[in-house]
Amino acid sequence: MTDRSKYQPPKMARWLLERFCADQWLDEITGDLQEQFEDNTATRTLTVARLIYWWEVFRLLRPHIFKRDKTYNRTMLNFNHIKISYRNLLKNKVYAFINILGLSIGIASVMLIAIYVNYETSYDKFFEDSDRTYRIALERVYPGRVKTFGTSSILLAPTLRENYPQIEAVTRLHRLFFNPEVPVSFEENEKVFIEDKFLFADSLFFQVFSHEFIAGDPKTALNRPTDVVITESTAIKYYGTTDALDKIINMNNGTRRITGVIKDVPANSHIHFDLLGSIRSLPFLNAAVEQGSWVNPWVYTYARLRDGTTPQAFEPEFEKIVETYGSGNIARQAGSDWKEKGHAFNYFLQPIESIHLESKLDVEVEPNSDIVYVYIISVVALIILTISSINFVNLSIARSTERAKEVGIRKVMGSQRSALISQFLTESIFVCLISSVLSIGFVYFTIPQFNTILGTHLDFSTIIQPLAIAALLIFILLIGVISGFYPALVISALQPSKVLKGTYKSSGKGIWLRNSLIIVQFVISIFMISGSIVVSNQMDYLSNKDLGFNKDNLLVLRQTGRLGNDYTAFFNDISQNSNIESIGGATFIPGDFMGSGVFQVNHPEVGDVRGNTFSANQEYVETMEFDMVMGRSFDRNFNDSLSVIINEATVRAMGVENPIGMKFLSTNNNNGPTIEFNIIGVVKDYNFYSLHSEISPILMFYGGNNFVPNVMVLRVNDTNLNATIAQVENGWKALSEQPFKYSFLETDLDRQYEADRASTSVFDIFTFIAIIMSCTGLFGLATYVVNQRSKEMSIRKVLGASLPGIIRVFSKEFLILIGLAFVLATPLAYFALDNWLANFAYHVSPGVEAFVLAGSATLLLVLITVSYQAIRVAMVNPVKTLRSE
Amino acid sequence: MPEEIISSQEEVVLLSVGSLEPEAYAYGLKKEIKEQAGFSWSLGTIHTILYRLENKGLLKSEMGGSTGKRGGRSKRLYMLTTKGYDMVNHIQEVRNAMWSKLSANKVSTQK
Repeated sequence: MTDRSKYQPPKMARWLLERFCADQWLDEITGDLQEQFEDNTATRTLTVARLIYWWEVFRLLRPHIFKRDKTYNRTMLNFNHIKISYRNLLKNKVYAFINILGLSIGIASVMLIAIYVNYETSYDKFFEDSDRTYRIALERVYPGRVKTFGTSSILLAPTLRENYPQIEAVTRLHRLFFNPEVPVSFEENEKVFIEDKFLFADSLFFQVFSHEFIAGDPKTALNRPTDVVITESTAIKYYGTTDALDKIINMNNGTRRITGVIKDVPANSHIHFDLLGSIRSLPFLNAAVEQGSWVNPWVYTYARLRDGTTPQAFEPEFEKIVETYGSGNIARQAGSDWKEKGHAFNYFLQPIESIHLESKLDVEVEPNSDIVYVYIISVVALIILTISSINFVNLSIARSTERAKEVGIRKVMGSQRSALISQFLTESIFVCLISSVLSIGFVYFTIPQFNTILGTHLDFSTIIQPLAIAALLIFILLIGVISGFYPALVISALQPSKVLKGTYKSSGKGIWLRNSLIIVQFVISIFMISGSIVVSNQMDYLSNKDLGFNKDNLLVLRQTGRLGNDYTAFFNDISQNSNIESIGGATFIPGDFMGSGVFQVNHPEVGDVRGNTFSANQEYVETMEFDMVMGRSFDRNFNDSLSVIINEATVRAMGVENPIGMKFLSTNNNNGPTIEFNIIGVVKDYNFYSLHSEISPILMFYGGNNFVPNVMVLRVNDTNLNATIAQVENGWKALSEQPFKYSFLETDLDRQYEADRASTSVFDIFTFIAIIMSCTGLFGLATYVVNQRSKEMSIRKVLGASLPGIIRVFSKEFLILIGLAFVLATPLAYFALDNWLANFAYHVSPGVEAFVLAGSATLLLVLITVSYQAIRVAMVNPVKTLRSE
Repeated sequence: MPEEIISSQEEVVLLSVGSLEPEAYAYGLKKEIKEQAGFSWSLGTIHTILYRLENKGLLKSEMGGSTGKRGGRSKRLYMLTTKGYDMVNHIQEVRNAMWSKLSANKVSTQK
């Protein structure tokens, strides 16, 4: 009991009480409260006593207890201000609507984009110690060119683990570059799943990446080559339960045992997998380890540095590592003078937290996003917020004419200027509060749409965290004060004598501000409209550009290599179909990840050529409709087994006029015999990869007479497409156990631009919002200007002005502003768009038409808005406006 | 006869002040009301009523001494004025009269 008496009532509540309670009451009330508090602490817990104290203080907020000084009056006035704000909103429903809707769209856009940015920057941060985890990437220098790999040598990880104590943990990850689709089947039933998110890692993977295990042991899960870890949803897909430990699955090359079930990989990671096998189950990786290969970058290496080791301090070690451990192997492959020849292996560290937004290497785990898009979208959010705030300011100033009399009366009644300012600030904060409540609703309903467009996994709950709400409240107050401050100053400065006499006209002082705000709005509108025109031109260009082959109606069948000896039977079977015009086959088709190689040329003046390679049959060239510019295509009737067709880019790389007849010498294997390939033809350049990248040398080898392609392309007819596909499927099912899967090349290729398309559609949506909001703002402003000049217009009318004449007078002012805005916006937009287009190797030029179109669209919108208001005033009988003088 | 009518809340406070005099102060009244009538009124409520009754002239107050228990704060002690005493007295008389009539009536109708 003794120590209980030392308890003190809550300080904050005491402070509050002292703030509002008049001195005459303070002493006895604090006494009463103290006595009650002491009684309570004796019988209840401290928390309860404190809560009761708070409650009592709260209940003491009664008028007769309040202090009777200036603050008291202000407090009372604030209640009054809110009431007046509410009434004013009701009185002018159109203005209230424009204001609140505009602001809430603005705030909602900012919130959405804040969530988006938060999501994009949250990648891989959920892993434990993600700030110390790095990917070791490779800058591979070849003679004359550089390629960047996210991957590194398979021997790097063990070397680091054995020799560098600065590395706390290190692991290797592999993805199947060429053919990611892996069929998975089961002993107990006939089901087959084609898995394309099957990755491979070594046994230390879970020491670096802290995935949460539902079943199994992270320490031993990938110890054996036959071990497989699957995710929760994969387990449910296979077995209907997560209880999948020790179950057996069948792969093409043997069985695997499930040794772990983990929670699904969160969407905001740069590595996603459904199944994770052991890298020791892949023969070619085991072979690479045996050979001690430092040349082939086949695995991703991830390392966690020990606390206190900085990446800058560690990076220089890589040069020594390559020198000490790698040079022997590299010399065997590239010759002992590899350094002199211009080869280099420069390893560097990438923080995993930055990979998603900043890494743009040639070989990534998954396509990454781009920080540029995050910047662009943030800027767009700011723009929209600016527009809505400008609207708010302009509309408030516009309404000051109506509020002038109220202000006059208030001043006559003795209101101080500070009270008036606080009244108008209260009003704007009030409007902001309503808007923000609305905007939270907007966000709630638009997040799903946003997710479908962008393919993200944004979550509404991000904004109902205390920190986010506090930020939102501060943000709202800020917006309210910033956008309410100027109107408050202007309105409160009115002189009551003038206002009440009725001679009030808005002062010329505010005009420059208003005009510059309007110019800003027009600049934004013209910028955004011309931007979306050019962006959509570029998107059309991407879909319609002549790629160097005909991509229409091309049906793609994959995994055809598994047909083996049945390939010819399948080919013959589907050739019967008259709706299939031609059938070709190759190892890779446009859009696929290809292998590459270096070839010597049997000509003293031509250097080595490095190019992507694939094999194809004679029909492939015909089916794709490549244009031969030199030489001939493959021909079954010749002995073409050692023939190669190159593209124009290869010819340029060789630096010769006519390469026909020259030979490529394969140097890929030092011990084996040199193989010579005859160059028999040159095809016109075609875009194998997306239009982001330039066309590089591509070598197409002849597959040989018994060639079984990995991919088949079928040129089909538009007619009876479904029947054709069904027939192909029947033919497939008769010969193969594998599930039948097909796609169209055009859609496959379009997928390369998904990220661009998503960002541009977001850009389009926000452009639309920005334009709509500029227009509503303009509408409000036009109303204001027209109302102010209604008497002038009536006099003009009385003196015989025509309706078009009156509209012209009104529009003139705005036209000058638009002209100015156009001059400002065009270079800005041109510069920004040129930068964006530089992302694409093949792009349109931002033509004059886009800017002219944007300018005239804005002009048209302005004319419509202004003339609507002008006509409204001009139609009024002049008597009505003039007689009240 | 007093022409004003007071609320039953005010009546309860008046009665308590009368019964606690001369030690009637807000927190004491709160406890008394809780004990006698079972109402858990906040200090704010009681304060407002006291303020109103004082304005009506039914109560008068003066600052009283302090005790250590209150952190050295003094109390405001309330007392019934004559008018206040007459008021409660009148209310009780009216009630009593009405009550005897009711119970007589009740007894007769039950027979």
